[in-house]
Amino acid sequence: MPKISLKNVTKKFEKIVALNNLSVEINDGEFFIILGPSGAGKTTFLKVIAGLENPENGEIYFDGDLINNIATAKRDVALTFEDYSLYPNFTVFNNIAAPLKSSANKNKYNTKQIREKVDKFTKMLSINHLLDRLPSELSGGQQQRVALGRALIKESKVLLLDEPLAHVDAKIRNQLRTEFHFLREKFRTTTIYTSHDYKEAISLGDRIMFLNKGEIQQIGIPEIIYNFPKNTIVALNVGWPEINLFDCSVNFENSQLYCPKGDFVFNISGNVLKLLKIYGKSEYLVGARPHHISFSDKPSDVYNLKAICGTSEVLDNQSVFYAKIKNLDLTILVNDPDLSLRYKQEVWLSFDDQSLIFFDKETNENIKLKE
Amino acid sequence: MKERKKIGKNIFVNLPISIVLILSFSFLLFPVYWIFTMALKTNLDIITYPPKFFFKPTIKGFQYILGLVKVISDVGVSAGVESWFLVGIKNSIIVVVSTILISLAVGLPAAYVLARYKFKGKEDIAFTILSFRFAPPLLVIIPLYLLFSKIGLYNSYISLIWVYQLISLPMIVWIVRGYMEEIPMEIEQAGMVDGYSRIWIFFRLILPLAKGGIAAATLLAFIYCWNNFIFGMILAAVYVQPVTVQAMRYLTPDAIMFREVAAICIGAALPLLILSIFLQRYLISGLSMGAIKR
Repeated sequence: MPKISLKNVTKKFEKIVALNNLSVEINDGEFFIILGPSGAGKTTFLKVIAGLENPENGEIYFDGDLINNIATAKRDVALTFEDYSLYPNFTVFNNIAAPLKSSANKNKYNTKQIREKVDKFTKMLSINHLLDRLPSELSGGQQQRVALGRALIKESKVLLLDEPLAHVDAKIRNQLRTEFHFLREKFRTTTIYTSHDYKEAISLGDRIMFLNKGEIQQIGIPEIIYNFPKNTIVALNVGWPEINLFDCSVNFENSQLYCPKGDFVFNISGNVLKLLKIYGKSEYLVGARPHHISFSDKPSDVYNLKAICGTSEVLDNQSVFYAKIKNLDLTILVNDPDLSLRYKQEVWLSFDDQSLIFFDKETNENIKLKE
Repeated sequence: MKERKKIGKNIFVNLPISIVLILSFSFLLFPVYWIFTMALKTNLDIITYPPKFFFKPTIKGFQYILGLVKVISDVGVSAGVESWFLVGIKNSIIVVVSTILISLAVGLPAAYVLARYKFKGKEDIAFTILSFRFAPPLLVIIPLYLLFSKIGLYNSYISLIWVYQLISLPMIVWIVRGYMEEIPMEIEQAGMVDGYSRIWIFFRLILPLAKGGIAAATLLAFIYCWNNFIFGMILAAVYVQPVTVQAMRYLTPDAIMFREVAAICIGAALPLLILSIFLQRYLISGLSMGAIKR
C-alpha cells in the first residue's frame, strides 16, 4: 500500500482553476476524506491521482515514485465514479469482471478464477443474485454496489471513491456507510473518498481535507475539523444546523463582548479573555455552534439575553429553533424533541463562552490556529 | 394545460386538422400510387387522356424487366434481351454496400476522434468533410470524368465507390460524431481505470453504445447513395451502371416504355423499403437518444 503525495499540483480547465497549487500527503492505508461543496475540485483531485486528467503543474508520487507520466491503466488504482459509469451494454457479471479481463491483467486469471472472484465480491456486497442483469435494470443503490464491486475486485493499492453515497436514498446510504466501515477495516487499502456531507466525512475519515474552489482550507482528524475549523468557510460547511457567526468587539476592562448587530453584551471568562488579549485585536467574528447556546423561558443571572422566538422544527430527538436578538438571527439546537415554544414568545439565552470560536475579522481565520 | 387539452379534443379544431393532414398526405403519396398503377397498365392505358383510374392490370411490365418474358413491350420494341433491372440491382448492391462498408470503416474512427480528442484544426477537418456535401455533383462531374478516364478508372466499380464516398462519408462522420459526444466521458474513463486500451474501449463500449446513431447514419447514407443517378450515368457504362440509370434503357429512340420505367422504379425502391423496416428498431431507439440511463 503506497503513500501518495502531491506537490504543488495545479489543474485548470480553460480559465477555471480546478486545483490550485495543492500539496498533500496521504498515508499508507489511510481512509482519507475530501470534503467540500460542489465545484470544489474533489472529482478533479481523484482524476488527477488516477491519471485521467493531467495537471498543468506539480508532481504526484506513489511511495516516492513519480507517476505523472504513467498511464491510468498502469497506475494500479481503482476508481468509482459519482454517476457509477457502469458499462451499460455489459451485464453485472461482466461489469465486475471487466478489470480482471483487461489487457493489463492479460491471462492472469482463467474463466474459473474470474467466476470465483466475482462470486466472492458480489456475495460480500450482496448483489450475487443480480449477475445477469443490465445496469439499467438496477436501482441506484444496486448500481453503486456494482460500481464498488468493479473497483474492489481489482484489489489495487489505491482506492478512489467519488461521492459514493451522494445519489442513493437515505436508507441505503446508512446501510452502505456501515459497509464502508467494514471495507475499511477489512482491506486497509489507501482510500481517498470524496463527499459533500460532513457527517459522512466525520464518521468515516481517518483524516479529512476540506477543499473549496480548488484550495485546501484545512487538513486534520475529524475532531479537529469540527472543533477547530481553520476559517469561516470550514466552520460554515461542517456542522448542521449551520454555525452562528456574528461580529463582536471586546471590552478588555470589564471582560465583556459587545455584539453591535444584536446590541447586547455578555461576559466572558478569564481564559477566553487572555486568549483574545494575546491575539491583540479587539474586533472578531464569533462563531457559536447551535448546541452551544442554551435557553430558558425565565430570565436569570445566566440567561440574561432576551430574544424573540421564531419558527422551530423537530429532528428525531432534538429540536431546532430560530431566535432573534434585535437584528441578529440565531439558530439554537436543543436536546429536547418536545419544545413548547410559541411563535414570537420571549426566551432568554446564554452563550457557552468556552465553546465560542473566534475568527480574525479580516482574514476569517480561526485565531487559535494562527500559528 | 387542462384547458388546452379540451380545445384539442374539440371537433371543430380536430376536423380541419385531419382534413389538412389527409390532403397533404395524399398529395405526397399520389405520385407513388400513380407510378404503381402505371407499372400495371398497358402503354395505351398510360398515354390516354383523360387519365384512366380503372383499367385491366397486367404484370407484363415486371415480367419484362426481370427478363422473364422475351417478347417486348406492347409497342413492339425491344430494349434488348437482357434484364437491365437485374444488372442494375446487382451493380447498385455491389457499389452501395462497398461504399457504406468503406465509409463505416473510415468514418467511425474519424467520428470518434472528432468527438473525443482535442487537437489543432479539428473543426476545420470536420468542416472540410461536411463541405463535400456543398458542391453540386454537376460541378465536379466533368473534371472527375476526365480524371477517371485518364487513370483508367472510367467504367469501374472502384470509380463509383470512390465518388460515392462524397455522399456517405460526411453523413456518417457528422451524425455518428453527435451520438458519440452524447456518451458520457466517464464510461470511457472507467474503461481506462479498469486497464483497457482506447482501441478496446472504442470497439467494446463506444460502438455498441452509438449503434442507434450508426444505424440511422448508415440507412441515410445508403438511401442517398442508392438514389444517386448522375455519378453512375457519367462515370460508368452499361454493365457497371446502377439501377437508377438502368431505367433509362427503356427510353429508347423508338419508344418510351413508361410501364417498364415505372416497374423499375418500384423494383429499385423495394430494397430501401426492406432495409428501412429492418433498421427501424434501431432508428427509433437511435433517434430518441437517452439510450444511456444517467
